[in-house]
Parts: sequence; C-alpha cells; structure tokens
Amino acid sequence: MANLQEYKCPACGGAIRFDSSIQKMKCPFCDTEFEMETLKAFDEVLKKETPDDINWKTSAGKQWAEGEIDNMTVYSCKSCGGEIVVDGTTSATSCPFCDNPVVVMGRFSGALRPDYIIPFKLDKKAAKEGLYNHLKGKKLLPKIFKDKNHIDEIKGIYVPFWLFDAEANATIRYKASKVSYYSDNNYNYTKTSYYSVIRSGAVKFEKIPVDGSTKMDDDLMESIEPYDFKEAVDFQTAYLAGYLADKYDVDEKKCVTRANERIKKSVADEFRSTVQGYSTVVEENTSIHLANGKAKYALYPVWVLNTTWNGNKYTFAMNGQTGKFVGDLPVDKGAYWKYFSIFSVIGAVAIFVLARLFI
Amino acid sequence: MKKGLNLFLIILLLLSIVPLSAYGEAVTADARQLPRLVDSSGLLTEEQAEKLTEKLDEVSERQNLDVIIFTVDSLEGYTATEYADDAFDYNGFGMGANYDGILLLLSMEEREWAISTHGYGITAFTDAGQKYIVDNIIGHLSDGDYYEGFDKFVDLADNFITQAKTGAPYDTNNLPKKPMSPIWILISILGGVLIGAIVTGGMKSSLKSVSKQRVAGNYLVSTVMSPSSNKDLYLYSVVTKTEKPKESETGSSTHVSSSGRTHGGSSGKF
Repeated sequence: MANLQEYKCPACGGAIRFDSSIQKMKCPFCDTEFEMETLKAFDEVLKKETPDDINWKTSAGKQWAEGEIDNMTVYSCKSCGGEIVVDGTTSATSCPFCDNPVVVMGRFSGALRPDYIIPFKLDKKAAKEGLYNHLKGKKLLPKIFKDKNHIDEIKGIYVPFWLFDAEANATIRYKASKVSYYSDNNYNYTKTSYYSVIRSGAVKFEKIPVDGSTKMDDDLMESIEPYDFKEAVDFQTAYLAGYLADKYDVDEKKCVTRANERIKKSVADEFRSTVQGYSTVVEENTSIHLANGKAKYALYPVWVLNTTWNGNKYTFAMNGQTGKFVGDLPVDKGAYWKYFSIFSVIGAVAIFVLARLFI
Repeated sequence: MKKGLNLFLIILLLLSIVPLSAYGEAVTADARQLPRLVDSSGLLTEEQAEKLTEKLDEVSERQNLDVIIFTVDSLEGYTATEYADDAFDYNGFGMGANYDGILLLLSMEEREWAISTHGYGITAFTDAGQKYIVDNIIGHLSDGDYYEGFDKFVDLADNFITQAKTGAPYDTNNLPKKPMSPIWILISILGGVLIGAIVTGGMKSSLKSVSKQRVAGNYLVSTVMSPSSNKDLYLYSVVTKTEKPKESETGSSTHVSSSGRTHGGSSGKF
C-alpha cells in the first residue's frame, strides 16, 4: 500500500479502481475499462502539463537624436482630438481621421523614435484606382455612393505598429476518436475508439504587427495585412516628406495581448494539422510558453479615405505596400429587397418543380 | 339497350341469390358469361352503371386484360378472396389463353373488399401495386362514393397494365407518384426565401471587407514538432449495434383457388 496511486478516468474524470474480476482498471462511474499501461501513460502526460505562460521582453523604440525632430510639426484636430505628425515641408489642411478642416499646428515632442519604416510603395494614383476597383461590381452598393465620393481627399499616412517576435513552445492534448463499421447477419456495429493525442513542438513568429494608434481602427488595420517586413528600412525622418504620420498612443504592453491571441490560435492550427486520421478531434488542454518575446516600433504606410454618407462614417484603407484595399460599404435597401424577391421566387419555383419531378 | 340492361340486372340478382357453391364444382367457363360490371348490390345508378361498363369494356379490350368490378350483398360464408377467385373463375372472366384479368369484389354485409388477379394480371398487379390502388380508392368506398371509387379503380388498372407492358410493373420501389401534398407549397416558399437570403447574403458580404485576423500565420517562420513527445495513446472503445433493416418484398404472392387455378390478390375491410 506504500505506492498508492490514484488515476483519473480519461472518459469521465472520475477516480478509477482496479477491478480484480476482470484484471483491469475499471471506472466505477462510467464502466469504461482500461489497461493499466494506458492509464500510466495518460497520467504521465497530465503531470507534464503546465499553465500557459507568456512573457515579453520588450525593447522597442529609441530616443530621438538631438535636432532630429526640430523640423517636425504636430497638427491636432479640434474636432476628434487626433494628432498627426508631418515634417516641415508638408502641411495638413484637414484631419485624416474625421475629415474636419480645423487643425492646429504645434511643436512635435515626446514619443519614441520608430525602429523601422516601410516606405510608401504605391502612390496616390494607385490608391484612387484601388478605390475605383473596390466599388466596382458591387450590386447592392447605392449608385449615388459611388458618385459622391471625394476621391481626391485620399491621404497617405504612416501608421504606428508594434512588431512582436516570439518563439512559442507548446504542448496540446486532444481527445480524438476513430469510428469503424462492421456487421453480421442481423446487426450493424459502430465501434468508436478513443485516443489521447499529444503534440508538442516549437513555433517561431517574427514581426507580428499590432496597431498602436487609437485613431486607426484596429480591425481595419488588420484587414489590410500582411505587410512584407523584408522591405522595411531603418527609420529616417526623410521618409515622412509628403506624407502624414501618426504616433503611437497605445503602448506595447497593451498591444501584446492582441498578438498573443493570434499566436495562440496559430499554434493551435499548426498543431491541429498534425493530428490526422481521426474522425473527431477535440482540444482538451493547451500549454503555451512564449520565449524571447521581443517588440519593435515601426511605421507602416496606409492610404486612408474617410467619407460620410447618410449620417454614417465610412473609412477605406489601402495597404501602401501591397495595394490591398478594404472598407465596409453601405447596402442599398431597395436593391437588396429587389434581388431578395427575385431569387426567392426563382428558388421557390425551382424547388417546387424539382419536388414534383422526384417525389 | 335499356331493356337489355334491365334484363341483365334481373339475371344478376337471381345469380346473386344462388349460392356460389351451386356452380362451385362446375367446369370453368371459357367464354365470358357476365358483363364486366356486376353490381348485384345495386350500389350504382343505372346511368353510372352504364358509363362504368362502357369504360371497363373499353379498357379491357384495349389492354387485352379483363378489368371486372363485382359487388355482392354477402360472401355467404366464403372468405372475400375465395369468393373473388370463384367469381373470376366460374364466370368465364379473363382474356386470352391465360385468362388475363383483375377483379375487384365488394361485399356489403361484411364490408369487405378483395382483389383477384389471374394470368398477366398477376404480373401487372403486384402486392405493393394492389395496396397502392386500394389506398387510392378505399376512401371513396368507405364514404359510399362507389362510382368515384370504381372509376378511379379502372383508371389506375389501365395505368398499371400500360406500365407493366413496359417490362417494369409498378412495385415496391417503383410506385406511381403520389399526388403532391400541399405541404410542398409551404416548403417551396420557405426554401425559396432561404435561397433568396443566401444569394443576397453573398452580395451583402461582398460589401464587407473589414475583419479581424484570426491567426498570425503570415508571420510564422518555422514549426518544429518534437517527435519524441508526440503520442497517440489508445484509451478505450465503445461499440453500439443497430438491427439491420429488412429487405422489403417485391412481386406478387399467389394462391390456388377452388378451381385449381393460380390467382394473385389481396383483401381487406372498407
């Protein structure tokens, strides 16, 4: 009795006992029988599991060098409170976030110097073309919306992003099942075999961007991803000429939560893809440890257009590097119901005719 | 013509009074001795009887297969099947060398019906086919709408013989289409609305292009699994069993009547 060991039932979680009559371990709660070896191996896996642990060591951004920011001006918007940075040769006439013309000039101060910048690769002409293509072929888009767009107001902005590097060491346990069918003269049998599947490994990520500006919608910024970091260069103020720049107002410690969410799901996807040959797979336990979490501060190029239609604000954004264009559009209610009725009637007639033919 | 019919009815009435056993042992007649409609119970008006006889004659001669309707007041102790078989055999019904035919018998006292088939009739009217026909007319018979029931019986019989001549008689897995239930109108409307919603939903979703990224796969540099700690551990199995579905029967079941001939058929209450 010195070595009293209690095992948990992998099927229901109850405490399991040795059943001397069948010389096997049997769960008194759900009556499932197990080989002793199975339970030992399963127990070892459970013991190794540890809770998630994600820590970041960040060293993002640098201090500005002497004289580097002398030429930079800050415009702040009296309407929405947005602040944008321009170099001395550029001027802003309206706020890029809310389209309000009331902007006030001030001296640039504070904030960290970005580590990297991806310079604009696509010009304003490409951005206008992007918008044109974005509006093209959308049947439910109100016609008037296309015409009313002041397409010239489209602005190039450098948006602040925090970039996170990470190596994730993870172990994920799944409960999986295989189903097989066989039959004799009178009965069909379905045999479901349950397995505990353990996967562990390391996944490395580099430069996951998280929007560091509250003025730019996070979902909008994620929608124009990905950016190719290979084209990033060390930050120089010269790159800002002719464009507007936003500065971060959410620090990297807050942004890291978002990066973690995406890392976790990515790791789960990667591991899940290695669990094959089962009919069902359910994740039972995950433990993810992040090592070498590093963060950097960078400016990424975005073309932005704000427009108001019927009292609602619509924002379009184009990736200034890849040209990916996004932006939710309004629905023309009349057109919607017109198409809805047409397809409903066609569908109803088709179903009725098919039913008549085959039933 | 009318006079002749009246005479017939009188003969029929007389015949129905005579117990079947009276000619039970007689040799089966070769030529048809009775019209194809024998309404001993007088369920039909004169006009209906005339119309129905005409229809029975037309279908029977066109298809070369006797379609007969026989009504009696009582089965006189016989089973409905026996009575129907005998009515077929001893009255010279059936066309051609094999006496092809189908007879529908109605007995009012017992409120029983029976179908007797013979020759090609056995092939054309399978057990499942007969059930289908009866299901379609039993409502009329129970309600006393005899003419409607009989009329439908002739139409169905005609249709079944035509089908049988194609080589694939109506059977368990091959029955004529039932009239569509009105529920299909509702299903079609709901299905149509669903299709409309899906198509316009697709158009609507093309207007939406802003959404969160779920994963960070674009920034994934390498994945290294450690094979030593990867395990697929068998735990336990559960076996469930379900009874196999029985094969449904097809074709016609047959029996031998008092005359020694082989008949197909079925019977029941109405």
